[in-house]
Amino acid sequence: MKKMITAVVLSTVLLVNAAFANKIDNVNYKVENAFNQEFAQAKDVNWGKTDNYYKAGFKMNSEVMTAYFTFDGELMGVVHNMLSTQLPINLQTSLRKDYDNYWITELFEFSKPDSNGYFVTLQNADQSITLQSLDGATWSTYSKTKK
Amino acid sequence: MKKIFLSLTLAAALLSSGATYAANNEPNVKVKQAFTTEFTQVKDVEWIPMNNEGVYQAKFIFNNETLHAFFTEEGDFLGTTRQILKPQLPILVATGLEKRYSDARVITIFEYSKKDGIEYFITLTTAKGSMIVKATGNGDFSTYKKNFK
Repeated sequence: MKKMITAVVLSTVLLVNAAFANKIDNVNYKVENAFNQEFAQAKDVNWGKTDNYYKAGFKMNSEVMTAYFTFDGELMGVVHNMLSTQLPINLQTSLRKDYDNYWITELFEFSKPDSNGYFVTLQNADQSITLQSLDGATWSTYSKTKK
Repeated sequence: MKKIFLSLTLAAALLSSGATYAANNEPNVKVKQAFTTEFTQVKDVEWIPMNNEGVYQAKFIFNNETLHAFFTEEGDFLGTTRQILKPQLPILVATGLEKRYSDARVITIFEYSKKDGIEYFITLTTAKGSMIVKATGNGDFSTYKKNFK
């Protein structure tokens, strides 16, 4: 089940960046409580809702983040769009070494309650490639498409 | 052996900002080649002597940040350290820090990137004294050093 939830959130983020969540003013008590417990320092919170989950956009430590919750208030994951310079050093140097002729089109950190990872989408004239890092040290290929 | 390297690396990273160094510690060809392989586009490198034989420390600028990389004399890459700010921490570490150490003030944060993972060493002060906590990227915390009054 957890794998399925992760897959839903990830595919949503990678494909459409969750743009289709309808904006709402209030969420149920369970979700609001879970959010406040998890992100006590959050500012500028705005809520959205889809058929499958709630989505909270907010700022923490001056960074823009998006958290996803089930309707029962279970945290599914947090997405943090970031700059390449914010990546752990080994991931930065690896991109520089192995993908020097690509440009970055998307980069985010994806955290679940018990683990985190980084996803980067790179493009060149011929293909688009998405890499993932689950250990903060090495990249592996998540998907690859030819143009 | 790995534990020794970890201690060396970490101690060097935590102490290096205020240290003064001896004049010469040019590494052998293996180490220089390993550095070039790891950091292809870096030109300006300062090799810093370490008291412990067999480990070399390179200080250089990468993406406008000062980094320290560590190698064995056989050319094995041990890892890289850099000082970072709180917003650069992974989400699980940042939220864990706020939950567990809400009464503490963050003094410094070092990221230690190894070949097989990443760790964060966070120096905190509280009313009781100072401490260094270690965190993994997944937000697992442990006390590395405590200096309470």
